[in-house]
Amino acid sequence: MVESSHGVGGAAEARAKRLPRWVAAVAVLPLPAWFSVAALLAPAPAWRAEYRPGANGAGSTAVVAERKLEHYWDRRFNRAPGGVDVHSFVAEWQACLSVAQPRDVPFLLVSNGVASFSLDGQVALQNGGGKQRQTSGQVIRLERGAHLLRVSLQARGWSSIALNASFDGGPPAAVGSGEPVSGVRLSAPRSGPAPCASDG
Amino acid sequence: MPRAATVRSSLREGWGAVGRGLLGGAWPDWVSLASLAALSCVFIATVGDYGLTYDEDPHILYGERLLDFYASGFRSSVGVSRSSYGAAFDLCAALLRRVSPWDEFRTNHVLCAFIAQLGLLGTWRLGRLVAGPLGGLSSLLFLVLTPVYYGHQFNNPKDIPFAAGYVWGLYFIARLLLALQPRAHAADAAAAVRSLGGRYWVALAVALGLGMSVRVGGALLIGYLALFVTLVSLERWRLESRATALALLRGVWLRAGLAVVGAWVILLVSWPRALLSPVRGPQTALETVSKFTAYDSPTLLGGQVIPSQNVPWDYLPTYFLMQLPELGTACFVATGVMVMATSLLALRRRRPLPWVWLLLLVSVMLPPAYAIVRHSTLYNGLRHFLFIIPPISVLAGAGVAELVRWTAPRHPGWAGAVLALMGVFTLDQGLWLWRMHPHQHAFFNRASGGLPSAVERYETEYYGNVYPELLAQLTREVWEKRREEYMSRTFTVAGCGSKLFFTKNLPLNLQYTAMRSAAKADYYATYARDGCLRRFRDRALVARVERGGATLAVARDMKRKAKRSRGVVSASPPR
Repeated sequence: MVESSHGVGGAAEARAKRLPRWVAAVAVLPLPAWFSVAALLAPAPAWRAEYRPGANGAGSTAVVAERKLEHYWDRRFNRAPGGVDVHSFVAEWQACLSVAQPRDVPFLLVSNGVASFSLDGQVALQNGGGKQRQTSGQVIRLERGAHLLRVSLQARGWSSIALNASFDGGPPAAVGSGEPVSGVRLSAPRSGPAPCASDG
Repeated sequence: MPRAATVRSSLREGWGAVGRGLLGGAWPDWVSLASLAALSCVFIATVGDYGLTYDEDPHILYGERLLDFYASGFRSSVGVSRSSYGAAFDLCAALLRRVSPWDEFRTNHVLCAFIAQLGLLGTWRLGRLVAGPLGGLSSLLFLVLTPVYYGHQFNNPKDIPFAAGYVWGLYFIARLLLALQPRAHAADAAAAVRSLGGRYWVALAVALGLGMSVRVGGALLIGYLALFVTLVSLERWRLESRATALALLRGVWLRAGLAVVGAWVILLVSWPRALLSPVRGPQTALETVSKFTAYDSPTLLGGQVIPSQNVPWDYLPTYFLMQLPELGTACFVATGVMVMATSLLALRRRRPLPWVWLLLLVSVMLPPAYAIVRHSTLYNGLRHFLFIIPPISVLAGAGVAELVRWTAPRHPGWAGAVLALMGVFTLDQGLWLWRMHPHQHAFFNRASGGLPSAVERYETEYYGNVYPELLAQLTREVWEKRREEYMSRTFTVAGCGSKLFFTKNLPLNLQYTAMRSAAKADYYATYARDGCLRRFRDRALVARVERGGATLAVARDMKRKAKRSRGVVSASPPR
């Protein structure tokens, strides 16, 4: 049985003794470093979500930032911000979608519960509630610039909500923060009358 | 013919020079460094490819409850105080989720991959300790190139952290055993023990404690420590002056005892069940997990469905023989035989025994032997014994290194040939890792007939990893073939496995429905477990995940019959 170094001579022996530390460093440092950088550089959550108690008044109003608009509640996922009753609450989400060039975007609104999707203040999609999960979709022409997205939900029973869109021709996916494709960016709205106005 | 003889002689000389050259120098350490650096890059690039698995969600929930428990000042919670599993990994994952930009499962995978890298490093260190730089490199290669272990490194929050704790525990115990080896002079022996230093004993306590704080079965390491230090002490007593041995070992026993106490403190702090009941808690947990009668899902062995509480004695040996690379198994067995032969010879000649090698052998053989003798509940193949694969790799790798060391001065060409064989093995297994990606955990070796022979006869894809790929294919299929419907209605998808496999991998407009409603669903999507691939075979196939020539998962259109053409089942024309 042999232990550690086989180096001969001062410098070589010193290098041989340091080598295990370098090996340990390349084994354990990259992942945490990458995670730290990814966490620091990750786009800020773009959806401003406001949860309000429903008719039974349980819980309190909570405003949180969320990275994408896709939720479903069941026995496993049975909590909502503000401690509101997940069987009876009202929620609204807002975000700003900026496109560099005009494009046609398929949007899907999926929900259990009464829900609507507005684009720049105009209702584009609505789901009327009922026991089954509903999906409504439309291809919407987005002109160059920033657009205000607003989604609302009145939850009844075990609810769900998602706003899906396709920017690359693939299946629509939940609209998430940051830049899903080049030339398209989802960012948080500002407070005030023009939440998606750009600087300058 | 002189020219041919000259060529042969030159080749022999050249090969011999390669063999001799390969023995010396630090080149194995540099290759290990490069390998681990490359692996880090691969881990980072591919961690997002792995799906969530059965064990993840319960552990995520457990982690959140743990945070609540500690943040609230140890207010007891039933779900926390009765858990049979230690809390270290889950607590770390819960803390990481507070700052992670990703969802809970991807964050879990990043932590799991990091812990796995610690395990790889521990295996390298142990192999290097036992058999030098070449032993370290060979051990690392054998472990990395074991696909069934590789695949679990990203999404197994129980068995991989435990494997990492296990191998590091073995490493520190091995260092102690090496320091306790008999030496020519008593002063050298004392110096060897002193050289361990205070940091060593702290590190030993941490390794033992963290091993136990993932699974209480890590107490095995304390058993190994006690057993082997006792045996080495008896040997020193037998071979040397009693006074010298006593003077040396008294200090070791005291420090080892303190390290065990330190490990227990780490366990108590990181495991609520132990915190609330320091002795009884871990004891009952150990009894529960070693028998584990609470779970009785059927498992597969050679095409037979058997209850997991009643598996035959050859269940584990069969899965190990079929799922480990053949060369690794052969090297492990050969090394094990050599260790036993060397030990018997040493006993006959009253020489010191190769304790570190025996420690490794016991660390591999004892756990499965115990499970077999106790008729433990076993399922999912060898998953619960992944932790013995690192010491298997160390024995295999150290054996290769010792073989090269022995042959190089005598038959340099043979030493070169051994290393060339390792090179071929590396390429071959590396290709398998790539071909199976990201489902390496379902690997079956060539000697077993490969994956095509194993699917539906043995447990292959039982963990849920296949669902992201399958359901992405299904979603694309529906989007491309049924665009108008996609934009206006919700589809239902039934399937085998956890509901989470579907809800986390499908957009909301493809809604999961229970298997009892499968006949009315739009689609059926399933992995290989529980014979689910055989269901609804008369329905049109719309998506499939294949690896190594075998089907691991399928999705079927429940509203369309499969069209039969010359005995081949294919989908009927789209609507």
